[in-house]
Amino acid sequence: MLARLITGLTSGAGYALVAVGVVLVFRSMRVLSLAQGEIGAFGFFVGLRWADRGIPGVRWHISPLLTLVVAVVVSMLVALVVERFVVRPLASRPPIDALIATLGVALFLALLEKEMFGTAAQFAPSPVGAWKIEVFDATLTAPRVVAFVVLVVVAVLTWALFTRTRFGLGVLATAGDPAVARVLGVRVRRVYRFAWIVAGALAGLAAALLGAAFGGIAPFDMTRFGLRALAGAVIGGLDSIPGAIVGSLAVGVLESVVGGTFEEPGTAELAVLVLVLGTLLVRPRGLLGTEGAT
Amino acid sequence: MVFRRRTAILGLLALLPLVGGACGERFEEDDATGGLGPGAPEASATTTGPALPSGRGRTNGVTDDEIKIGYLLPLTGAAPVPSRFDKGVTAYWDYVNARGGIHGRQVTVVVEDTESQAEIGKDKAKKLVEDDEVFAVVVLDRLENQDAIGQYLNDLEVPTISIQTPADLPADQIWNFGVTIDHRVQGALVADYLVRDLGLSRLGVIHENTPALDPGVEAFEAEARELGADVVISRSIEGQAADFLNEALALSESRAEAVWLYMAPLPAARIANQSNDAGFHPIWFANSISWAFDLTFLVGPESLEGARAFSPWLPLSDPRTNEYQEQYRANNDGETPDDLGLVGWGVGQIVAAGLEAAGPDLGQNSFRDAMQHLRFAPDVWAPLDFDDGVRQGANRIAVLAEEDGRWVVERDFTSEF
Repeated sequence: MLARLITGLTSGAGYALVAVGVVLVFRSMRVLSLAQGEIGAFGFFVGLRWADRGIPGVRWHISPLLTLVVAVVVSMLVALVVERFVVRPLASRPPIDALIATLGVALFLALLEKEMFGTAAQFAPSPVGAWKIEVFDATLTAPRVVAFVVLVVVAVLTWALFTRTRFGLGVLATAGDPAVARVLGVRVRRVYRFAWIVAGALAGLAAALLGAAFGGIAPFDMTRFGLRALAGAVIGGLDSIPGAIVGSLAVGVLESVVGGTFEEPGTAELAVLVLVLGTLLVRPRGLLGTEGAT
Repeated sequence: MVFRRRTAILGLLALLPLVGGACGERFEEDDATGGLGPGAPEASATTTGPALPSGRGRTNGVTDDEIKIGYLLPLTGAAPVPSRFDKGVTAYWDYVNARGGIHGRQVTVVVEDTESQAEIGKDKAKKLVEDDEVFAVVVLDRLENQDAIGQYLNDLEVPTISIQTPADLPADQIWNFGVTIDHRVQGALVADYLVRDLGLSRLGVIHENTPALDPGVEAFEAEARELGADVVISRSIEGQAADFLNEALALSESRAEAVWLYMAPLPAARIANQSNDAGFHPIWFANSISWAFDLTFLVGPESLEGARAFSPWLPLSDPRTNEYQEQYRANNDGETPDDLGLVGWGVGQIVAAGLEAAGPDLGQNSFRDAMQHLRFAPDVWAPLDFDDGVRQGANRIAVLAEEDGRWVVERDFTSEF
């Protein structure tokens, strides 16, 4: 049981990386993005393709570590494009418009992946090495350990950003009221761009680490992981980064423990859904969310 | 407050796909024909059905110089086959047509995508029959989808070649011919091979969560018990899942010596990879129509080392597939052929043999009758032995073994271990 709990935490860490991005975007624009997972997947697919066939024109086959770097960079660029050309034009419209648009982006990217990289799954070699550690009978592979470590770093950095920097305060002001933030001198568009770029980078990281941890990646995989991240964000509070982290870790642990206890397929997913429903009914703002923020 | 509720509802709606994953697909089991006993392939020869049509029959899709064949394939959706499959189909018929066709008729094909869904598959079958007016249809899809499409085409009395053969092919589906091993027969043979040939006594099976696979699993477990082996783990999974850590841990705890992964390539490779990460590496076993394709090794290059498989067709490493490989390259600008295209090629050979046997006076009844009595050994496929009442024509398989990231023949086509 302890082994399942620990491995569940590492899966949850991967979801949390995506969930932090979801919350960043939600805090800055009040847009619930369903595209984060597939944005990360697209970047990772590009990295895997360049590792397999070489960079077009250069024919240099990049190393597994660089697949992670490419995943992060490409995902940042894709996120930037989505922010500029899909979400920002919808910023003043009802939130459902942007939500549906991000769903469209996720589907578009997944289908593009199928077209460009094929329907078959891609083997995803670990970008962070093939080492393992044993923790209380749990064998943790490198991608799982790194996901957890990166999550800790992200948690510290975001805490510092929002409590120690003027830019972070600007993001908070934008979340409260963009018009007032503008009056106060906050460059709101810059805040929007920042949120999407960071969210894209985190999605790329998550795709590379989860893809390697789960033994391969296929189109739509990260959309499913993204939904788990969204579940974590809803459970923790859509406007709370600590909440998203706690919620996602809870999702990972719940999946692992329930899935290990009940053999019937789908039981773990059902348990997560019940937890989400319970949260929405009992505490709609989530564990650590702000009253009225969602 | 209104905004809060709305956001909460939107979030809930977005999470609904999780429910899909949780519920899985449910299909009613078809027990129309009664069961074959485990390990008793001969029993299938005794199935009987309704009165058989005679004479030439309808000539839909047949003219003096053309025969039109329809293909229903899952090119997109939950369990797609790569498009190289239909490149193999095209390569075969181009090869045949270049040599004068069948009794002077050129064969043309119409390929439709089932999108891996039974209802869409039936819609596309209707289109093939009513709009395209094809003569016969070749179907490949997930077993439960293929069953539904096969029943639909049978009701329309259209000759159908099903690439997968379900356990207990219903006796009333007289128009439907299965060209690979019956899943129930296969389940028993898997146990025979692992216990008798490899000398193993701790076996496992992990299968996708669909009732269509239950007969195969039951036959495997029953035969293993009969042979004195222990099935130390038997679990089902959702094929669309990605995180199989719980299964990997359970497999590791089971200490199974060989595990049959009765599923599509991606979950099989993922389970092998995640088990490997957990320090567990048994002999992984594939039934061919699941993941005994070379491409699976691209997803699990190390973890699938030493894997074994049953296959109704030969691997690319066998020289008997050279003709296919040459024609595929010629048809596709030198593109490297694979074993998915080989399946398209092989089933083309079977359909062509049926058309040849039906003779120049081709009609759907005469073709059905020719298939019903077809005894044919394709170059790349298990020998077919249809006979009166028998429409599962290939209850033999080749045993394949992994060698340097590709499949090689360990034992040629057989039904005995």
